[in-house]
Amino acid sequence: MTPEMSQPVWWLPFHYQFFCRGFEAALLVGALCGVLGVYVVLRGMSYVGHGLAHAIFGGAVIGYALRQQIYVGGALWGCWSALVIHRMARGRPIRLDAAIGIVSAASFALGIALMSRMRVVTRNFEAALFGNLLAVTPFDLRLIVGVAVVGTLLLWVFYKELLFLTFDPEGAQVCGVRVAWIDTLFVLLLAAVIVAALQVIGATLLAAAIVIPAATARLLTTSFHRMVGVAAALGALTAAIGMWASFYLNTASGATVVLSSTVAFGIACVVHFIRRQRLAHQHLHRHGPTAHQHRHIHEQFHHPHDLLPNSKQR
Amino acid sequence: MTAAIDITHLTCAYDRVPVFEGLSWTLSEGAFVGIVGPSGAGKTTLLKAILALLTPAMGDIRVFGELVRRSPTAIGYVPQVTSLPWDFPVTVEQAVMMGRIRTMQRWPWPRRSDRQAVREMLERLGLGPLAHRPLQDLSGGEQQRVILARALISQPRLLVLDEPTADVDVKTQHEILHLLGELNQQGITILLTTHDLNSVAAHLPHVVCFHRRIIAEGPPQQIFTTEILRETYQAEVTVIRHGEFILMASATPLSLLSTARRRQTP
Ligand SMILES: Nc1ncnc2c1ncn2[C@@H]1O[C@H](COP(=O)(O)OP(=O)(O)OP(=O)(O)O)[C@@H](O)[C@H]1O
Ligand SMILES: [Mg+2]
Repeated sequence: MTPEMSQPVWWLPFHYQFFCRGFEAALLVGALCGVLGVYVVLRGMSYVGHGLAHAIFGGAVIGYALRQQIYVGGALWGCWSALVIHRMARGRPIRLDAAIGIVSAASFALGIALMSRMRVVTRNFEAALFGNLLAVTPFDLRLIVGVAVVGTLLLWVFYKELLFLTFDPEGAQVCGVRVAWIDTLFVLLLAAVIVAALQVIGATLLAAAIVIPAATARLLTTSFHRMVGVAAALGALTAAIGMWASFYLNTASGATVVLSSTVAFGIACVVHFIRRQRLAHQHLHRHGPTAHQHRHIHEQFHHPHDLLPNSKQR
Repeated sequence: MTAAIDITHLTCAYDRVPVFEGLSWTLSEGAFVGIVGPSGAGKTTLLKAILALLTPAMGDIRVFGELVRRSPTAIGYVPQVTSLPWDFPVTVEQAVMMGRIRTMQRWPWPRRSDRQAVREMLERLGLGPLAHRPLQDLSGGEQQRVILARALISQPRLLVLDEPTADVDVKTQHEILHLLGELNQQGITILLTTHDLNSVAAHLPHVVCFHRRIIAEGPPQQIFTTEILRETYQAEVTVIRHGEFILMASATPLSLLSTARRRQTP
């Protein structure tokens, strides 16, 4: 009996080096997407993530067609389209969502057109579209680690500024935060994470991988700090589960990652609902002169009232 | 004495369409001034120019003698309550802490002195018991006091408020204006905009009637006249005087209706 035989069945994929690599990549990418997702969700920028992912896919195919350079193409095209979107949206008649729609769809279409011309390589780009466990090379993993280190550092250094400008960009600017500068930095970081995550999750599903863990975390907590932690943990966990499931189900890894985070979101919805029911508790309080007691939900409570000194919360 | 705000030949425009042109105006230090005017008069635009949130097409703004290019450190800004996302997942304490960002250290977490300062500010504005409440649980008046606390925590010499009396009940309006009056007594120059002529007349020593230019300025008893208000609002406003007391009312229900309609269109 070999030592492997004594190990549980679920451990099986970890005997393959390619799986371990993909798994590590998924953990890091999931956590990164989760954290960035917090800012994306709270600022209502999910469409920006969606657009960037599609534009970067176009860039990756162009990069491959010209020089066989997926990453350089994707990164350059990503930065370029982020800046173009920014400029277009400043002109009045075209709003941000329309600008993103135009630039990203055009890039994506260009990528698809080029891809279908070069029939031979179509399979290679399936990973960039939907994510593929097998596609993660040692170089990919190194790139992901690099982006994760730089990203963590930036988010750490600019944590307060990002928090402030996510809540109130104008207020932040008045308080001396260089909003335009940090905004650009954030979009470039988002582009970098998307480039690094292209092989693992795939362009078409990246927006979901960014948004779902953060939205789930938002349901579970009312604290920003905790939301960042929960989103990172959920992102890593669901990405790992998705990777693992894709090994057994022989599916595109992006799809299983997104499906597992959707399940997590569903569970969070149920937890949120149950909590709200429990929050609807009653206690003695006062509106104006009358002291009384009735069931009410604190989260939705919008008129001022004073707790009486002897009243009990919960 | 240097002026708190000194504006010379200021022109502000959106997409080359000017909101106001060649505006010159001075706000002296220690003043407590309200700007009134109809919707679309350019009140918010003027405040944003003072705060360096938009770049003027022409002209200069000086705040305490210094030319405004980036947001001046001496100003505390209280935006309109409805412009902020109140479902944002932070507590009252964390929201007020944001106002200290200029003086905080690089680390993500605040120092003990930061927390102490926030605690004191919350107590001062009667928000002490709410320190750990999530923002989403606050009433309109509490929200107003939270962003006021955020502005005051940086110890500004000039406080700029956009419609601090909108979206709260009459009692809270009085409380807010009373509080601002106290802050003014303590030496802070205050500039605010409002739509509420009656509470302005009751609380503020100085008002500016503004509609794309300054139509009149002075103590409310002097400048709240039918003629000036007609020119400002392009609508009939009845002014009732009783000794020191002034009451403004819309002349006909019909004109009230049309102003209401105009306010609703963005
Ligand atoms: N971001 C913008 N882009 C283009 N035009 C704008 C913008 N903001 C304001 N305007 C225009 O500038 C003019 C002045 O607007 P402003 O918001 O300064 O008015 P206001 O006096 O603050 O009105 P209100 O009392 O309704 O707040 C309006 O005609 C408005 O349509
Ligand atoms: Mg306004």
